[in-house]
Amino acid sequence: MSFVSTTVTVLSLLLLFHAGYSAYEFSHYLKHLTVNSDATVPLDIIAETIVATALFAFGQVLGAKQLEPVSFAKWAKGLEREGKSPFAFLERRPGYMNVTKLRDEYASAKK
Amino acid sequence: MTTTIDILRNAQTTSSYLTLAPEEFQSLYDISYKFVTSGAAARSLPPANLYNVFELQFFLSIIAGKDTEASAILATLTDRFRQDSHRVGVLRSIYLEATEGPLKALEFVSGRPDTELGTLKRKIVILKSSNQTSHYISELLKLVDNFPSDAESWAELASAYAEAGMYAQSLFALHEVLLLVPLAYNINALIGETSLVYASSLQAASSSHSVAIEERLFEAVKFFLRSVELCEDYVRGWAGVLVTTKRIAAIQKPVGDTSTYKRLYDVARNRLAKIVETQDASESELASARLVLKNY
Amino acid sequence: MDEKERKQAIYPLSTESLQQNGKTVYYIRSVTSTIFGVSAGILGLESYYGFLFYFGGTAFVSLLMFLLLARGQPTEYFTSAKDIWTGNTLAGLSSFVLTWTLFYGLVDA
Repeated sequence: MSFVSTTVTVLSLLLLFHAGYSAYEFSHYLKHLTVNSDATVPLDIIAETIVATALFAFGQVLGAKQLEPVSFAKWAKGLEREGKSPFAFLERRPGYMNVTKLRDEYASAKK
Repeated sequence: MTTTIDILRNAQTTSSYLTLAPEEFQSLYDISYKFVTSGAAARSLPPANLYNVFELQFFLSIIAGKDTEASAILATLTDRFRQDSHRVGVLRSIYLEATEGPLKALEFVSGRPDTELGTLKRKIVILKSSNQTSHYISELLKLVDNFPSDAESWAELASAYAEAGMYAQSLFALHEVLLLVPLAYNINALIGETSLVYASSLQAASSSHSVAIEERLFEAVKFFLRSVELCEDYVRGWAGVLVTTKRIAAIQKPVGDTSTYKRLYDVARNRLAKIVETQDASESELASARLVLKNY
Repeated sequence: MDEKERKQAIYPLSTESLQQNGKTVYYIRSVTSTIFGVSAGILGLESYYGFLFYFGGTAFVSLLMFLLLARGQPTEYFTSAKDIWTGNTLAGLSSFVLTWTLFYGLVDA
């Protein structure tokens, strides 16, 4: 997750918490301080909730893992570039490694 | 961002440690050593991955000549998986081969069941160090007879044939690899390269040009093209196309139609030039692309 | 071999990429639908309006994924373009209902 997406997500959660708490307070006042108890949630809380939700979705999509190209050729190109070829073992053949030779090479490189 | 875990997983799945330059090998060894001995590996990895890291560390230590370290890891793995585990058997035989010599190792692998592919491979490798190539090839042939679905053995056989100069047989083995792993673009490119070398060896044997040589060259182009079809902007593949089409263009009196190959030469040149221009490959691949462009 | 199979053999698809992308979409759907539930609860939505809110939110996430993740070219990353619009849309419904009812009750003092 990038810095931007984390910031956006945290901000959106704070907003959402604030909106939730406001809605709770509003419903509290409605029940205990007024007689008119069928009023709906005020517009500013609605706006805050919707903004928070949209921001959260935005932050999540922004911070999601990059999609991989579905074409095998393009995907393979990416792997090849990072030296992660899934077929490299066919040319390195670990099962047939010549351990004495590798040790000698390493020892002579060390000198 | 690549984490330590990613680096080690890559080294393990691609076996990169077998072909690394000394300083790169050293840095991989240091990373792995620190990760394993600090206990970070045991804390952060689920068991399956942890033992893969241990296995990698075993290979790194044994190659680096740190025999006591290797022996300690081997002991841990043996305690966990028991002596009769396939992979532990392979590690043990490699350890014996490196520290006590081929005879001890041979004695050990001879005691293993003959259904165990890993130790059978080790047995062949040990025999190779004392025998000649023909023996090596016949042993490998016996192995692929019993385990025809092991792509690694077919590839090893192909390389043994190529070393012996038996290119037709090498190509056959590589085609077997492709049957098992059809998407292996590097093997497609290797078939192209082997065909090219085969053509050269035919050329050297007979003074005049022949249909057989031409066919080998055409086939090389075909497989190089398949490799770039499977892996976009594959420098090795395009370089192969460039070199082979240049060779085809140089034929004095071609038997078949070579006009397509002239066009392919231009396509390959443009592709490589574009890759170099946009730096769209790893450093080493860019270097080879520049070299091929300069010389062909 | 028909035309489509032929094309698949020449230009194969990467199953690993497909799996990976599917997982990414699934993750986004699950997390966002949980938060949609929280919002629907805070807004005090009832019956059909709640589900309308869910589908509205899901469509919004699809749009975001289309623009930000797939950069307007879903066929580069999925076998068909509709995967990004309609794929996994019902996966988060149960977690949506869970948090919706929970927060509906919580904000009601």
